[in-house]
Amino acid sequence: MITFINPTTFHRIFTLIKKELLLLWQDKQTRIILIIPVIIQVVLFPFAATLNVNNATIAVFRQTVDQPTTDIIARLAHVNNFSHVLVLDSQQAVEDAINQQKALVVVQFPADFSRKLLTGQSPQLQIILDGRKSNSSQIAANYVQQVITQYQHDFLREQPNYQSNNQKPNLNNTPNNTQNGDQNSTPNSNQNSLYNPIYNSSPNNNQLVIRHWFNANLDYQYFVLPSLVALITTIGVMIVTSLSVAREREQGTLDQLRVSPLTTLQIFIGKAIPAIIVATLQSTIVLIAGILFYQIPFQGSLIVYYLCIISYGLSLIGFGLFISALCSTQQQAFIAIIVFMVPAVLLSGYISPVENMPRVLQYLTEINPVRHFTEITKQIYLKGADFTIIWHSLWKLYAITLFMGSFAYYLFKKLI
Amino acid sequence: MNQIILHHIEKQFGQDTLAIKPLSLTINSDGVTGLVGPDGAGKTTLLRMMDGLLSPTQGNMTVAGLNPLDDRASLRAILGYMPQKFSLYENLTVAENLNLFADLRQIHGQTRQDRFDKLLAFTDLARFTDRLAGKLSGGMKQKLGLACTLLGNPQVLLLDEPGVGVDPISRQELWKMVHSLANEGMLIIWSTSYLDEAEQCQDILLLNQGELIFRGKPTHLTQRVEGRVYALKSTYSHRQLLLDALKLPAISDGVIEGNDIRLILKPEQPIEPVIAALPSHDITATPTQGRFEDAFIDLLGGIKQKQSVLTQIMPTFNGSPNDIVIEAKGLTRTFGTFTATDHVNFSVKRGEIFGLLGPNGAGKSTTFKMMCGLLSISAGQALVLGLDLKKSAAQVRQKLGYMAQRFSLYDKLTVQQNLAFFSGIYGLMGRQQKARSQEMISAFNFQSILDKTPAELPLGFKQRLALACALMHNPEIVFLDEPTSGVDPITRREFWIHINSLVSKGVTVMVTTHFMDEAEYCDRIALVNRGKLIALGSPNELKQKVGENATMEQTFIQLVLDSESKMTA
Repeated sequence: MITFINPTTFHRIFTLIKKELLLLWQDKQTRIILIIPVIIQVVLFPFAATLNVNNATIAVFRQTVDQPTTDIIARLAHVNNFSHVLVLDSQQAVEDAINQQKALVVVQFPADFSRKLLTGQSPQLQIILDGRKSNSSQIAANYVQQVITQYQHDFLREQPNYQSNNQKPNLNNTPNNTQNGDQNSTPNSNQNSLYNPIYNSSPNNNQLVIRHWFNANLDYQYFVLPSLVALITTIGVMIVTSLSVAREREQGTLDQLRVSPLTTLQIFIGKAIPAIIVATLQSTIVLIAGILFYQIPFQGSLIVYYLCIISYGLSLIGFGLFISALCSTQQQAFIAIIVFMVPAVLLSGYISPVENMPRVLQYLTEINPVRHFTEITKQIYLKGADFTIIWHSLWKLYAITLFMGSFAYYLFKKLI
Repeated sequence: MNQIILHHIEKQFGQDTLAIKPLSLTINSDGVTGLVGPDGAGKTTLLRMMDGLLSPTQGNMTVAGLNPLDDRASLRAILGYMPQKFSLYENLTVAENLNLFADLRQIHGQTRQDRFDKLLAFTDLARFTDRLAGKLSGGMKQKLGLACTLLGNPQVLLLDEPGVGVDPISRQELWKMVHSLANEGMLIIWSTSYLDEAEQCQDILLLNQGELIFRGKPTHLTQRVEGRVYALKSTYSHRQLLLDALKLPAISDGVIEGNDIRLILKPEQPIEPVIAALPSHDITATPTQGRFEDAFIDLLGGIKQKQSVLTQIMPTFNGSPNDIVIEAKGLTRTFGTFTATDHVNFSVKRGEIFGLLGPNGAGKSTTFKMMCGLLSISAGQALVLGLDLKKSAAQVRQKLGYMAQRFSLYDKLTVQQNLAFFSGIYGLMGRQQKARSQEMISAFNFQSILDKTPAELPLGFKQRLALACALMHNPEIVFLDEPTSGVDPITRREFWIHINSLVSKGVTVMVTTHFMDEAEYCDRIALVNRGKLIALGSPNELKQKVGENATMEQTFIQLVLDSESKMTA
């Protein structure tokens, strides 16, 4: 490391980095691989990978036709998330609606529903969900829940005895002043709320009002876009490190480097730094799109965030160069990237929350840099968390960098 | 009798690349027809049109009476085409490959067994039926490829460069097979860029840049240079003698042959004034037989660059010519149980050209790679300037130049960027770096192509660029790994003029090659077979071992066969 002070060494590394960036830029193929997916993902992901329930069909079946149920159905029809309301006429039709996937959710009103509602008792209501689409049907059920609760609430307020019955009509008493950096709130607040819907629809009890912090409108772009920064940075670093080494091997230029006075460390650094530069640029594109185009407000400090992006890039370098040391062709490297990417993304908390995973997998996610960076991103981007909070995840990235980096360097030295 | 008839055939790729200029001719089935020409001459394009894989832009042709495009199905039955890299399944055995190709051609039952027996005997592969195709040597792979092609019992056989990457011995065997097939009446076209292979053919089609420049018997072409080829003997350094001779206007071309040089005079030029103009007084000049390659180069107007600019821009390395700069001591490399290099010893003195030769898979690349530090050593030592490359890397490597087989340049970087990169990693900076780049640019005439990438350049330019990149840092030792494979003969000769002038500056060169005429340029040759060093000496010494007038190729084949019989005995 002492040789670093030497200007020749510095110039050599600079030459390597410059070459790498020129190659990436001048090679049409790589340019396409690095730019087009970013654009496609930025444009498509927030719409396609949405976790909102939109354009869903909801079915209703009531045994008695009366005013309250008609009102409720009318309200359901007005919910934006449901594009169609299917009114069923028999018990058989209920089954068919779910079986043939005509509807995501069937709301079944019992015969005594309106009577109990009017007399102030707790009416029972059956919601049948399509378990094959467990996520979206639960979300839909949640919407139905909200509609009915709201209806009950409105209905009771119109009743003369309402005031005396209810001790606390104020529904806005939950402590929801947006506090920055409340680390004790669940980081995945928006998700968790979905998985814990309240099915109890008794009208007289205390009202439970759900508030989604940091994403008040439950806009899933808030969730998808920041995670996309992590996803795209990962692809960028992996491609630049793994593929470029494999390409040099295929074309024989790696041998040319090896017979030169360059040391393995210099070659290693010459591959690592361009990867981080590329990753930083790519994430900048996503950030700009998120802030300006999708208008998701960036709550934290950009400087801290860029520090995190670079740290994240560093932690991936080890994985990328590890792959490149083992693969002799670009094809192998590409497959290896996919083999790394799929579990890394699955175990990152992007697809499903880490807290919901089996304990063993939860431990495994600790060595997954994607997980830590996804967390950091949400903390900074959505919550504006400060450095002390970030540090909880950041130090793990450094640990991964150190561990995987030295492992990859060892392999690099041995095999290259 | 089978015939291929071409009528005004023309092939154009894109807007302005004419791969085949209008061509009309008839090819008969008496003897092997050689389709000869340097890389990019249009050989493969022509063969693929005959096979119906490409359609001609203009004109029409018949192959054995059939139109390759319209009657493809019937042509398939009688035509065998072996592409440059025959697609054997490397993870299948020899027998499995044959079975697969027989299935594809729907050959069953007794016919199948008969053909297998015949072909396995013919190609001498019967002993290897259980071996994976990927584990065969280059020569054996080609033989298996040929066997698979012959399964359909074709009447017309098109072979696209079957001799590439095949050592002289396997090549000789391939030729024997093809000759015997031709005698049975098969129409055979053998395409090649090795001009010495042309001498084996009955009939030659010589292509250059899509144009037929000669058609006829190979001897007809060599007649062109008759009476103009002389072998010069002298006690004076043959290398210097060649450099001096090439400066004379009367000389069209010249090469080194062992301790002598061979000069080709321009037409109507006498030899006497040439000898008088040379600095040595003990020269004896004897008229000699011209080679096919001499005639080819003469046909194209001789070599243009007869003096190397490197003389002016490379520094002189002083030091005793007795210094040992490269040394292998008991050099051994094993891969599992297989010993690729087995206790090899040799030493190379300053200012020598040292050649490493051997059949495919003999271990010459392994040895070469260990010498330049690309491969770790199992036992023994590989010393360069007295130091182990693996251990004391940086200082030694600073003094090495390396040029790989495929001119490992960055294809997507421009010429200028390549020069900047290679000078940069060798530690040239600032003004020094600019000055050196400029020297190389003017020396090799890169000015007009500075913003082009190597991918867009002809092979000759690429080779020169690779050489320039390897010499930026004034190395005193240069490693060349098959530096001229795939390059046309003129560029090859020019390349050796550069190497010659490097050596005259005291640079030491270590080279591997498949070309026997290149071996002649070496001061000493190490011949490797089955991992062992089987012969070491100057080209003349090696030739003497075999016979008085042996050629380099005969010497190579004889020495390798002798060692084989010794090893198995």
